[in-house]
Amino acid sequence: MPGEEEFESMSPEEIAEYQRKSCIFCKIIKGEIPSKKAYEDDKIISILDINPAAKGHLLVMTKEHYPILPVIPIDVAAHMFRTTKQLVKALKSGVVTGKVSVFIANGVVAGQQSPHFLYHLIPREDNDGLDNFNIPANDFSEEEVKKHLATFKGKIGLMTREYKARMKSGGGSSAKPKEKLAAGHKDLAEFIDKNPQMKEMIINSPEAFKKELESNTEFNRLFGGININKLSTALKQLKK
Amino acid sequence: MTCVVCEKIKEKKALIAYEDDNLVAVLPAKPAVPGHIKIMPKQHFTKLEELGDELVEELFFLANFSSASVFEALQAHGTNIILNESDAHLAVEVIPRKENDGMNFMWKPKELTPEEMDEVHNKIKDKAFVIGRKEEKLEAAQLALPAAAEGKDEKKEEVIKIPKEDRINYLIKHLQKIP
Repeated sequence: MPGEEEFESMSPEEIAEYQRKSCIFCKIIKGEIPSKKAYEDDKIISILDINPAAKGHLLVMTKEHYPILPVIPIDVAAHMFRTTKQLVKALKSGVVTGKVSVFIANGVVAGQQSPHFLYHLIPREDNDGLDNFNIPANDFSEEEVKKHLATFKGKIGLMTREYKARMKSGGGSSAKPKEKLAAGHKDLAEFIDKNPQMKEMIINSPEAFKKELESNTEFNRLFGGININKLSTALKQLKK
Repeated sequence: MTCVVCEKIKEKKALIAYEDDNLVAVLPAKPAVPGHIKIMPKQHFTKLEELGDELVEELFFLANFSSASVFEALQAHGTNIILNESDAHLAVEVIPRKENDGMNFMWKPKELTPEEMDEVHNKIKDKAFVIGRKEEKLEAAQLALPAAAEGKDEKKEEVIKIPKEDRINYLIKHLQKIP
């Protein structure tokens, strides 16, 4: 491990690179260090914490290494948040508890113990001794409380407007044309799912379906550039 | 018994930092520390899974944005975002942190035996992996599609390409026209 002097002479990029190479969670994600996985997909992963606050304490993180929440690309973060709801459900069902705590620490001072951004899902019970999660309620003057209200309003409003605008146009600003094409394919996949008869036709009579496409401009637009035979094979395999 | 929070939301009796049709972010009257922001769905929910998928996403993004604005405005060293489910109206709390601020949310880790860990692992993963399977279906269907799409992309690129020299010449010519 580099000494302090060496760290000081490293550029931010070099430090980030070092973090990535030595990140325990990146190694866990790659399978180089064992872990107990509760859930995994192409963007995020959830594992049991080996130093749990309670039985079933889960860690949720992105597969890609990001040090803090604000730098996670919007589409990845959106997926992570949505999946959190399902993970909470699964956790409650698996551990048989009625309530959980979701705990996020940004920054070492807040309790962030890993350079790889992650957060905690902790099953709770009455009298479980986890009073550390209770949030204190203290007395402050109204001026002190209100002090930055205008700034918060402005910033939060701005960020929310940007977020909503991005989500409406179908995904983060980093979406390259190829990825946008893939988004169209996802719509297509959903469309096929919703039309079982059409699905059957693609699977059993791809040639007939191709003829249909020629005469139907709407479908032609949807299926434009797609290899129907390959699609037919893929759908056939899914059926099994 | 009515919910105090629901009433306060109706009467707009709070310092509101953000509000839309479904969510509200307020500065609690008795904060942990100034800058503490409390984010709640307007509708009365007590558990996260009661919210729709989109609302859950918006809730966390709002928490994220609140965290960022608090961090900047107060020059905090960090923030905590905490949701403690209970019988009360659901709330996500965003708390600015500074060194030696007297707060500590950390827990004492429990020592679980390997058997206990395995037991819990088995209980949870079966439930959680089911979520993944639905999405696997969609992804497999997409596998058939990108191969054909690649051919289309290349065609598009050829059409758009303008030789670099021409572009630069045009710009220089344009400059020369300016008196």
